[in-house]
Amino acid sequence: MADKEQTKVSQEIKLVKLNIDGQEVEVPAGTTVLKAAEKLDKSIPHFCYHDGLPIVGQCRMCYVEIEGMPKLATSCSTTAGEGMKVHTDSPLVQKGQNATLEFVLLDHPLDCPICDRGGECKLQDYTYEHGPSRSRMIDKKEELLKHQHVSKEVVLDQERCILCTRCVRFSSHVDGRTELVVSDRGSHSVINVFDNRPMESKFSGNVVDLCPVGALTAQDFRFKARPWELRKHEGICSGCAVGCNIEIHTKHRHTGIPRPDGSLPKPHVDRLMPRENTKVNDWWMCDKGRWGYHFHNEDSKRITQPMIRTSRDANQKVTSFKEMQILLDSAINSAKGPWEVLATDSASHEQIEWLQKLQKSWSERGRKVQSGINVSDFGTKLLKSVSNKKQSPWFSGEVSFEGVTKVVSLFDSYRDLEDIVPLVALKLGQKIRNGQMTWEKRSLESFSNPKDDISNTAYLFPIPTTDSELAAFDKMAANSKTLILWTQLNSRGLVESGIAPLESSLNGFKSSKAKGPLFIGAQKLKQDYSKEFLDYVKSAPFVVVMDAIESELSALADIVLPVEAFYDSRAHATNLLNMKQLSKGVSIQHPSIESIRTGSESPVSASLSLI
Amino acid sequence: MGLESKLGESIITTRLDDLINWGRANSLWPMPMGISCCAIEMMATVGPKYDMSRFGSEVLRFSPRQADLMLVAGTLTYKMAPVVRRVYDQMMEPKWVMAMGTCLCTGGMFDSYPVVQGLDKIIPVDVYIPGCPPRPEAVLQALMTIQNKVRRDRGTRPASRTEEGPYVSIPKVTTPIKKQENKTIVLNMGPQHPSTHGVLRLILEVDGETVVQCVPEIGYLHRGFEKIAENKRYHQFIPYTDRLDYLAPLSNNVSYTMAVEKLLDIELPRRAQYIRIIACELARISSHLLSLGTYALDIGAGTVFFHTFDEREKIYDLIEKLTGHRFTTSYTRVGGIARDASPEFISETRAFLKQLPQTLDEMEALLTNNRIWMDRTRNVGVITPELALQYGVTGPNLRATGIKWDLRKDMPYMCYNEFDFDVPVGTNGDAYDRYIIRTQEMKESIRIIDQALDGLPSGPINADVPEVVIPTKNQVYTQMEALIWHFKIISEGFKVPPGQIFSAIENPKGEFGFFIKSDGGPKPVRTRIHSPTLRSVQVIPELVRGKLIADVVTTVASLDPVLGEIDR
Repeated sequence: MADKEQTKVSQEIKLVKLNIDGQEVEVPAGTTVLKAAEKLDKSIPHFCYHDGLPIVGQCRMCYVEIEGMPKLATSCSTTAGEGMKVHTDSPLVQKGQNATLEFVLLDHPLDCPICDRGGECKLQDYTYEHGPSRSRMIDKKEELLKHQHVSKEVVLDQERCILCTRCVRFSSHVDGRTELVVSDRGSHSVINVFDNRPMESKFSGNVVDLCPVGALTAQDFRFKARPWELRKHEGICSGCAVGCNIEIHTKHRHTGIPRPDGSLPKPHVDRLMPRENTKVNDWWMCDKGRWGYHFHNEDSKRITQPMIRTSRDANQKVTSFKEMQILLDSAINSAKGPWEVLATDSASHEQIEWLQKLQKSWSERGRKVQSGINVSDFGTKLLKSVSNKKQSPWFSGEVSFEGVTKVVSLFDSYRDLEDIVPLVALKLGQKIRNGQMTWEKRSLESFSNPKDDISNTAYLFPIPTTDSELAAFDKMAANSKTLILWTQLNSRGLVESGIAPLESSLNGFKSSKAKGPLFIGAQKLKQDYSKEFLDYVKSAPFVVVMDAIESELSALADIVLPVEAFYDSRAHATNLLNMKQLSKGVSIQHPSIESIRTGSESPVSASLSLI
Repeated sequence: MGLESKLGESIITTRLDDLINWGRANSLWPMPMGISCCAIEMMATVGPKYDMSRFGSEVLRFSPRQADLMLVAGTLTYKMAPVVRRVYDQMMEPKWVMAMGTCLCTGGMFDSYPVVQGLDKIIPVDVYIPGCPPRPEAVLQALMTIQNKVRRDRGTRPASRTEEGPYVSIPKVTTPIKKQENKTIVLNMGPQHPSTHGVLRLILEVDGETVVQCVPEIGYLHRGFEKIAENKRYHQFIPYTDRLDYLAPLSNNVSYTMAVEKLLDIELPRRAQYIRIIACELARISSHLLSLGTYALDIGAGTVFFHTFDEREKIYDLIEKLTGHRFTTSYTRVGGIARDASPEFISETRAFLKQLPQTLDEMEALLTNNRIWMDRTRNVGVITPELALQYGVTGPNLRATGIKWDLRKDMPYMCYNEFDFDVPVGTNGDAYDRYIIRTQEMKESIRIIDQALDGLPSGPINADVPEVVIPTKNQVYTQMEALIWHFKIISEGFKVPPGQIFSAIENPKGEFGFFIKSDGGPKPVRTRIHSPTLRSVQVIPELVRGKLIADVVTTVASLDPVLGEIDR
């Protein structure tokens, strides 16, 4: 059967050879001329075409001349044919591009100096490269709606719009809510929200990225920075377990040069933008992640020095590593039970590794310390089943929804997933609306059904929190495509490192009280901690918390140790699709980051390993 | 009231504080610390038009122990900082400090490694004068501010301010010289000396009055121009060229943009070429006037200085009419010039050119046949033709040796070949000849400008290269296309095809050129500045060996070095 499929595939992928600007190129049949030219590193200017959206050939910018065709053709919508002779830069093409731009600019407002897109605007780039340098227009420009909020976060400027309809197609095809539409006809066409109802999409930020001009801008970024002031760093969104690939844009002035008061400028995140990765987030990211970075900029809440409190009623106060060490020493000597080491689900692989090292060194030195991290009865069982290498390869490998035609879950619709794993919901939603996939809601008891064709059914399993759920999971995961919907940045990564995720082990903490002191490696991202967990922490006789940002957890600590924040550091995290991803982070360092880096040379490591 | 009524009308009473402050305020004695460009405007403030003596402060003398107002002007480098600090420490209390120019306020446009980011990093400052450079009016305003401050003084000043600062670490001054004889002494001339024309330092080993050896030490005004150029787009660097040879900013502008235009293969419209030629020649007259004025001043003939500065002010007025700035013009643009010459500029320039020869004649009457002048300058600092060629001396200093070499004639650029003018040459190559050459050259420049004004073509002032030439303001405000092109040219810069070029022009001081290497991007990968007077300074040791110290002054003044361009 495999052989048959192989031959089928090779029959389908037929190659055609065409000539672009005198260069031969071979592409699979069905490829557009635009993509074929891209293969030769020729970029044809275009506004409306986008890899992730349906092709409409609307903007008329991607003109090419094809020998034998009477008129210029739009390369984005013309399929490459055998023996085609294409010219991308002939005088006729140049004339066509020039004329297209002249038409686009007829009614374009003179907004560049105040437009957020200025500097990263396709219209500017193309006009400078291909367009006219001076205007022939003498009439008055059309006046349309300006700076209208189409949602709380997205602002529309109809005058700047060039009607490429990328946003409309995103809304109808990718998001599926069809909130943005082209209204009115002919030269009166404008983009607007349908029936003046504000956008409710949870992915509305993507239309801002898609907009090739400044017609759609994000309230969050308006008038904040010019693109050339921004530094771009590759990162991973820390908002949920999907781990969207992002670019972190930061604005620094005079990096490294102290201010008059002696303080160093801090890296300030100004916006997040998605990075293309078709295995994870395609070209998109959700609004929650996109605009949920502000916690990172609150300098007053940054933990950059160790803090201690001498008694449970006292306030935490900043101290030196030496004094902190003295307090920790006495806590270790007077400890009744063994130390318990915990790691939260958003701790990066680097942080976990460091905790494991610490725990090992403590036990080697004869300190009373529990073996293992996040140890609880339920946690051990959970870890045993989710990290079982005998589970189906789909579960233990890199998860992909390729070939899946049916999804089974506890939820009514894929829309309900948008708050938990937004980009998975977006991906599945497109397939479901296209008819490539069906969605079925089942209760956990009847989750598995013998009628299912397990080769193309995927089961979205909630995080098991009870023994019965765990048993159900065990039964299914062995031979079907079962995916646990983890909710936090590195839950799956903890499993890979042989540690039970903290949030799912909570079951084990619920009734018990902490016996010994706690050492918690945390990474406060956006989630709040559950009440049960905080109660458990409160019950401990002594608490050490390592974190980058103050939280309700660090408020409970007797000792707070600083670590690098996720966006600042180079860190790995494994997403729920079981892909270990690197977040390069903001390479410009936080002023006191040298002192808080968890490397072997850092004061944190030095002071703890000496104990 | 009381006592006063009994004293009669010829006696007034006051507080002692007021009396002392009144005296101090109206006789402030400035100690000029001229480091770079701003110093030229400081000199203009003393000149006849602005006349600082109205405020009782015309006696700028380089003797810290008598002065009570330190007038610092120019870019402060780390190498210069210990010198400024030492001179400040030598001044008596009470003393005041004026920081002239943005460089001394904040570091200004020189955010580079050699430059101290503000004078207050090393000494306490009383008044800051912003501007790059500030106009003389601003200096006078600052002087009045200081006077007010002095009048308000009630003995509340700390007893000594010498304890304050410096707030950055500054290097120690070293004297890199190996004495050749035993009984000699080592004498420092500069970097702060009235006749070194800036911050040139000559370390002299002297036997009595006779110079045994001379080691020129430069770098006190190194501002990192060449490195800055690599980090600036081509248009952004034009303002920096103003500050190289700050006696002829217009010429520097032309030289730099010409080099970029050659890389881009742009042909200028004829009107732009003519206006550039007028600008260059005005700059030449202005530069030579300053040179001769200070030359004479150094030798003791102070009157000439006032004559030449009066004329320089007239040229500044013309330049301001033409470019919008009197000093740092930034007038050229790649592919043209910033603005057109107005009819008023043309008519006023004509009037000026009619009157200028008269002043030159007066100046020559004072010097050319003056016995003292001839004794001081003839056979002093003789550069032989061979020596000049060995050291690569160019400009008037080369022509004074008898070698007829002038880029305007020998490698004509712009439309110089259409003009009728002579290249004056000397015979002896001594300081006197260099004086004569400069006077003659000014007269030739007058001829050139006359011809340029007569034949000034009409037409555009910018080449028709829209991807490089900045659209006019009117176009930017009304046309979408022009706005976008303007935005892109300014924010990203135009791309220059890969390649390299060396292009030089005949500056007032000699061949001034730029080597520019482009990799196809909007910024050059390397810019090298060929400075003419660096070559002249190198010859000094050869010229002064065995001569008197007084001849060193003559030699340096006659060579007319400018440190902005030497140190770069």
